[in-house]
Order: sequence, then structure tokens, then C-alpha cells
Amino acid sequence: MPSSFIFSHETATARDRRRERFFAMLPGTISGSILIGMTVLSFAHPITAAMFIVAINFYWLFRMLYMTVFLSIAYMVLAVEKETDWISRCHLLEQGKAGLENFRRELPGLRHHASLRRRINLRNQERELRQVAEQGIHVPAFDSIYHVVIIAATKEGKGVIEPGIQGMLVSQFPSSRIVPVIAVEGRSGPQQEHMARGLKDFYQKNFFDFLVAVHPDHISGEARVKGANVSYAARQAARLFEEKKIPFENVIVSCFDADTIPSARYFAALTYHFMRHPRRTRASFQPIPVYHNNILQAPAFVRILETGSSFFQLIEATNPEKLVTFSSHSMSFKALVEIGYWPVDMISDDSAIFWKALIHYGGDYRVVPMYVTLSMDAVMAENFWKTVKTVYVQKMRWAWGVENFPIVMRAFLTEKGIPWINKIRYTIKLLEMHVSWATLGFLVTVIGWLPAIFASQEFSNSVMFYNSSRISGLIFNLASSTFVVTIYLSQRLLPRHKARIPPLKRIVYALEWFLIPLVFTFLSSLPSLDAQTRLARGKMLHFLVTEKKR
Amino acid sequence: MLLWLRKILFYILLALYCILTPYTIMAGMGYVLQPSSGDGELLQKTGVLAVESDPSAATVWVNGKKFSNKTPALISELFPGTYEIRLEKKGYQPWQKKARIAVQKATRLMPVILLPQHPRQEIVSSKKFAALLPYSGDFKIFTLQNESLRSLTKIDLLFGKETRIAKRIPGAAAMKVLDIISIPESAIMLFVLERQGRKHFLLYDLSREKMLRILSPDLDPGKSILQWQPKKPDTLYIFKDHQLQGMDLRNPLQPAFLISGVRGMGVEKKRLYYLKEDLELWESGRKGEEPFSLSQKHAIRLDFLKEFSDEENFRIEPLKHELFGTEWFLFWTDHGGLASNYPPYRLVDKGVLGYRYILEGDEDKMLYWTSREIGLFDFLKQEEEDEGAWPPAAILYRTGANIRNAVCAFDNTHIIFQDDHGIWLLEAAHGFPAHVRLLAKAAADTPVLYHERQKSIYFLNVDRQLIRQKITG
Repeated sequence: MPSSFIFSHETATARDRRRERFFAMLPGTISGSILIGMTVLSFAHPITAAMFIVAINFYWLFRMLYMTVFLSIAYMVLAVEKETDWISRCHLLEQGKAGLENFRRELPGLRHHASLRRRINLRNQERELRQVAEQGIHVPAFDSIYHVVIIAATKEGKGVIEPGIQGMLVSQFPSSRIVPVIAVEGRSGPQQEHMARGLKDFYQKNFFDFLVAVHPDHISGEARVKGANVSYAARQAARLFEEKKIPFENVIVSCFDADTIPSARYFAALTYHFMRHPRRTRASFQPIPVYHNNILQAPAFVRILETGSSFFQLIEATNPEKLVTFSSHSMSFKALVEIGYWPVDMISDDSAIFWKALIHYGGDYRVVPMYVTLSMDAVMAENFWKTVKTVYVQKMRWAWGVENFPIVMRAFLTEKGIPWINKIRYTIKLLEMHVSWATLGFLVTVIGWLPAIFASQEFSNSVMFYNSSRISGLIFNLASSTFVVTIYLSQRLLPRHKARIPPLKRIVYALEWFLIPLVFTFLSSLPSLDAQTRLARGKMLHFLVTEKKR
Repeated sequence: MLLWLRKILFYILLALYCILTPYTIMAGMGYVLQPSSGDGELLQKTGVLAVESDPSAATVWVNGKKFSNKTPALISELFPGTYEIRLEKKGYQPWQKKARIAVQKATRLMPVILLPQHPRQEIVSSKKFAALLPYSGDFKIFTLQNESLRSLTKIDLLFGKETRIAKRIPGAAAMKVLDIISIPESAIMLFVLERQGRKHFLLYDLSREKMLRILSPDLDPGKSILQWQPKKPDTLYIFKDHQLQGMDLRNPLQPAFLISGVRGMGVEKKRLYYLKEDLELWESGRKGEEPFSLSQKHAIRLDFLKEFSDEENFRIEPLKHELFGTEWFLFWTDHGGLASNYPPYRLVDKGVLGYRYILEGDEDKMLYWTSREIGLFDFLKQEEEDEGAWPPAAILYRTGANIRNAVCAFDNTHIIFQDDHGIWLLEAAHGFPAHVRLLAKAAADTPVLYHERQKSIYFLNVDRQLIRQKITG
């Protein structure tokens, strides 16, 4: 039975408000305590601090090793699935057992002279067809599937939005069953609406329909957030499908940023994953975000951060049991409608929608990883320092996903539907993710060296003083193997343009990764710590549009 | 399959973490597993030995066992006790010493200076010199070829150029140098001159090669204390017969100020300190203006100075200026006694010929020497309960033969001193007994100059030639 929990910062009772306040303070308090505690300990009792630092460094090393293994696996899967013909897979899927038999008949021929990647691809396809047949999954007809793509546009101009629409046109999936919806804020002014309508007039004939939703300002209960805008747009789309008598369970909704450009295979892959999922109306679908629109023009630190973000999603994709939606993603439109659309008073709508759905369905909700990319813009502003500032703000906004924690905890305490073991797993994951995000950079790069730098004579005469630097050096040397893999994969992940990237530039791109300690600490950990501290202090973050230039 | 792989890898890494982390921490703390130890303890505590040498890449032997690590080396897992440490490098004299390893402590031998088998001496100038002035700065050395002031020569150590610099001093040719008075770490020298039977005093800045003032006061430098600010002095202080006189060096017409009833004096930058006969310590501006009693203001007790003879006068040096005005003062008597306004008050009874206070980086120590011994006060080795008192003096060397000069070298880890037998290198930082090695033989009556950047000493050999000897490397 669906839950009646209201996923919002607005809480009904004083007890709920106290609980929410407690959990809001928890991540920031833990992070702050760790950093302050370790700093104080470095001066007060450096030998003990050195022991903790060894433990932290080992934790970091094993975490890096763990992540690197799965990053490599995820990248290989991404490489394997690059050549997939999703449309033919969809057609085979809807044939059911007959499709499986047909495929098995053709398999030897397909395998003949096929590369290793292709063979793995074929094997995966055979396995998936078999699973669908064995589990008796009802697969909807390919021709019955529709896509609604909501593009949130606040200040972005035509030059940013139009490539995304053109990407839908060249999609392998027929654009005649795609409905783009440009979600414009009324407060952005008439020129924004005029721009959106101009695009609609130009492109409408190529799609099933093309909507422009102008979100009015000052709706009661709503904050000035993207979630409110796209929810309004989704309601417009719902009315359209109702008018056209298209059942919601056959519609997949994708929520894109204005700069998102889907690859030609995106909607076809999404359709395939949707069709073969046994509980497709209880699922979100998460692609791998890459920032290929302008990553080669962006400053080095932006390139490192955005690639790191792509890597993070690749790693998360290998753990679908705990995957949470992030940035541009897709989900069942039926589920979206049932859970009441996106939260209208939260900044982190991308992750909040997952938690809202999970709680609504009593834990019966999953995110399906898709090894297909969605390209977005890397942050670029007018000049270097403005870019630094904008990146900081963007990362803080991403880290503001911690605002989900108190609401999720409040739900876990009151809602009975989700098994306790899953509640504990999700809690640990949320807390560990945010705390390590805010603290690891500082601990490994800065605080870890404090005892040695400010060593009292007592400490500098101890065995630990001499051994701690040797141990740290050894750990960092071991970690360098993961670094090498990261640099290699970052090169592989760079966009393949028509013009080759010159070898010298490739070397520069590889060497940029040596900036990672500074960049990660001050443009990832620090914004995360900032976000957690604000949440702990009860200071809400205002939604800020990230400036992107192409 | 990914789920299984994830679980397997997670548990493997978790197990590795749970095993490696405590093991590494214990090893880092100096614990070793010793199942076969006699006392039944499985975990034994050890110490480490950290050795650095100059030059590096010396082979390390510990109790006759050669270690694969060359210097700089860290030898860990040493059980507490005394070890025979030996360093060897081709072309250098071996170095050997006993070192004590303590539990969970690092014994540091750094740096160990390895002396070449054959010392590298270079004749800087083939001329013979009467005197070498006790100042070297910016790759310059100053000498006197003979007793005439005119023979004052600057030798450029980089280019080997010799220049006579006394040409601009009026009447230099006729002036005979009787004595040269210097103060530590100052480029300003006071030349005691004689011309036509009359004494003159020339204050000369060697670093700027500039004459500051010629004075002709009636004083016997042997019975007076002459003092000036180490850098850019504007006043010459003459302390004699319980009177402190200050002569303005920049304005010859300005009359000297006079303070009577004085038992001691010291000057530091812009402040003048003097001790009155009632043992009250006073501070004033450098020309004696705005005096006030430090004894009253900061409750500085100096009763212990009564233990010294009434005939003894004091040179006063302020040492550390701490917050809230408490100041440490050092009192150095005519007879070589050293005292301070902090317990134990009387530091050395007599015989101190010189001292140097070192406050650089994390060093906080004071070196002193008598004709026979060299001692060290190390404030960093003070116990917490002894703060507010002088640490006990560590006598590094006791068997000197008329020690005349001592300087700190190799970032204050060694002491180079000169006595009748030659120029010596003494280890000051490795614990006791302190290693002492002969560097060179030198002319007895001239100082040895040490150049930190070059790691070299300059001195006059027995033939009065100026020699440069690179100590190591």
C-alpha cells in the first residue's frame, strides 16, 4: 500500500520538526567534529593523531582501490554497450520467447569474426532475453512507448537549449513519439517564453507534440526551485496524454537540464531498459552524465571535477541496489504522477524524487543504471575566478542533496513498509557518502600532515614521527596505481571529436590530474562541508542557476 | 554477478583493513612481534635510529651489522640499549659512536659530518698576514698584512681579488694598529690605533667599508668595556670606573652623556641597559634618555649579584623578550662568571671567555666557552616543571688548551673552536660523549672564521697564509 508520507521540509507536528532538526544537524556535526577533532588532536596529542591518520589513509586507500576496480568494470560495460543496436533489441524483446529463439538461431553467425566486445554484448543480450522469457515479464509493444522530455530553462538561451532538441531529432528512437516540454519560469520574463515558443513553432512538426509550460510565480507552498518548475510542466504533459488517451504506464519521463544533449542511442536504450524491467512503473533510469559539450575548452580544474563526477556515477552504476538518481535522469511517468511529481520546495529535486518514490512505495522502488551517456555543459564563466566561484556554488548545490537526509530519516522512523535492514543500509550509505565527501579531502591533503609540520619536540623524538611519514608515503605510492587507472580512463572518456586531440594536449590533460588534491579539497570537500554546515545551522540554500558558456 | 563481486571485494578489503591498519599502527609505534622473547611478552617495544650524514650515502653499521640503507637512513625495530654506530664512506674518515636507543623514541644522529681522509685546503692568498679580522660576511674576509692600518685588506672570496680599503682613512699610513675590539655578529670593529705616541680609536664598518668615527678619548681599552650597537651604531659606550659614558658617533659636537654609579652595561638595538651600584637594573633610550628601573617595573631580583666581588663589572645582555614584559638577562663578569636573573642565577663561576645565544628556527640554546671547556644550555630540553629556570649546562668538552674562539656550525649542530692545538670540530647535538675531531693546525693568535654556506673555515696557517678548508662534501 502506498505511503501517505509527505516528502517535504514542511512537517506536520512539533515532534517531526524536532526529529527533522536533529537529523539536519547530524551530518554537519559529524563532519565538523571529525575535522576539528583531528586538528586539535594533531596539536594536543600528535601521536594519537598520527595513529588516526594512518587509519584514515588506509581507509582512503582501500576505498580508492575498491572504487577503481568498479570504475574499470563500469567503463568496460560502457565500452561494450556503445555498439549496441538498441532498437533491434527492443523489437526482439517484444517478440518474447519467439524473439529469444530467433536470436539464438542467429547467434553463431553474429559471433563469427566478432570482436570480444561484440561477443560480450551478444552474450548479455541473450541472457536478458532469456530472463524476460523465463520470468514471464509482460513486455509492452515498442510502438506503444512514448517519451516526454522536460527541459528546465530559467535563463538559458536558444543556443543552449536547441542542441538538446536536435539531439532528440537524430535519436534512433522515432521522434514522432517524443514530446519535448520546455519548462520556463514566468519570472524569467517574456523573452524566455518567446524563445521557447519560437523553438516549439520550428520543431513541433517533428515530434508527437511540443509543449511550452510557463510556470507562474508565487504559487503557495512552492519555493523558487527547479522541482516546482518541472512539476508544473509534468502536469501539463499529463493533461496532454490524458487527452490523447495514452496510458501513463507506457510513458517514460526524462527530466533534463537546459544544456543536456542526449546521444542518438539514449532514448532507444532507455526504451529497452524500460521494456525489459519487470516492475517498470516502480523504477527510475539513470544514465552516465558526461560533460562533453565543452569539456575541452573548460579550465583544467573544471575538467577534473566533471570527469570525476562522471566516474562517480559510473561506479555507482555498478551498485544498482543503492543507486540514487542524479542530475538528468528518466523514470516511469506513471510513478511520477502517483507520487505527486517532484518536491516543490527542495533544491535537490534529482535525488529527492528517488527518495520520495522509495518511501511512497514502501521500499519497492529501484534505480536502473544505464550504460549510456548524456552530455552536458561543464561550468564555464566569463573569467577564471568567476568560473571558480560558479563551480563552488554548483558543487555546493550538488552537496545540498544532504537536505534529503533529515526527511528520509524522519520517514524511516515512521514508515513501516521498508524493511529495517534496507533502512540501515540506506542510512549508512547516505551518511557515509556525505561525511566522507566533506572530510576526506581535508583529512588526506591537509590535516594528515599537521602533526608532522607542527611537531612538538616530544613528537619529533618519537618513533611514530619518523614512521608516520614513511607509512603515508607507502600508502600514497600504493594509491598511485589507482591514480594511473584514473588518468587512463579519463583520457578514454574524453570526447572523440572530428578533429583528433593532439598528443601534447593529451599529455597536458593527463598531468592535470596532479591538481586533484587541491581541487578535490577546495572545490569538492569544502562546498560539501559548507552545505552541511548551512543545513545544520538551519540556513536554507537558494537555488542558483549555474552559469555555463559554450 | 556484480553483486557477488562487490560483496567478495568488500569483505576482502575489509579484512585487509582490519588486519593491516592495527598492524601498521603498532609497527609505527615501534612494537614488534617477538614470540620467542625471554620475558614472555609477545609484543616488544623498540626504537629507531635516524642517521643523516654530510656527505650522504654513507654505509651504516650497527653493532657490526651492515644495513642496506645508506644515509639518510632510518633503522627501525632496534631493541632498547646501547649500539655501536659506524659510518663509512670511501674517501672519508670513518665515524664511530655509541648511541643509546630508547623505547618508542627516535635517536637522531643528524647530521654526522664525515671528514675527508685528506683535508682539502686551498691557499686563498699566498701573502703573509699579520692578522685576520673576526668577521666574514657576503664572501669577504678582512686582514692586516702588517701593523699599519694602511695594510687593511679586503679579500673577495668569490673572485680572489684583494683590495686595500684603508686608503680613504686620513693618516692611515701613519697609524699603527695596537688592538682590534669586536663584538659578536657585528661588522663594526673598533681599532685601537697609535699615531705619534697618542692613542686613537677608529670605529669602522667592514660590511660597508666605511669609517664611522675616529675618537681620541682618554681611556685604556684594557680597563674599559667598549660597546656599540651591532648594526648601524650611533653611540659608542665606554664603561670605566663605574661610569658609563656615551659618545655620539654621528654628531661630534654633541656632548657625551654620563651615568655614574654603574656596575654593568649592555646595549641592544635601540635600548641601553645598565646596572647601578645598588644592583638595580635600568633601561633607557640609547642616549640615556627616559630611564626607568626594570627592577621595579618587572620585579627583577638581582640580589644574587652580591655574591660577585665588588670589583667585578658586568656586561649585560637581554636574551628573550617574552610576552607581558618578563625578560631574561645574562650577566657576564670581568672574571668570566655568568649569571642570570632566573634560577639557578649563578650559571658559571668564572672563566667564561665568550658565549653565543642561538635562537633560530626551533633552536633555543646558549653556547659558552672557557679556556678549557665548552658548555651548552639547551632550553628545549627543559622539563616542564623547570620552566622559568635555566636548564643545567651540558659540558660538551672539558680538555681544551686555551680555547680562544668558538662558533656554531652546520645549522648549530656542531661547534668549531680553536685552541693551542688547532681547530676542532665538536658535535653538539648527538648526546654524550660528544665527538671531537681535529680539522687543522692554525696560527695561534688569529681567529678561525666559519662560512656556513660554503661549509668551510678560513684561518691563517703557521706560515701566516690565508687558508680555506672545506670541511666536508
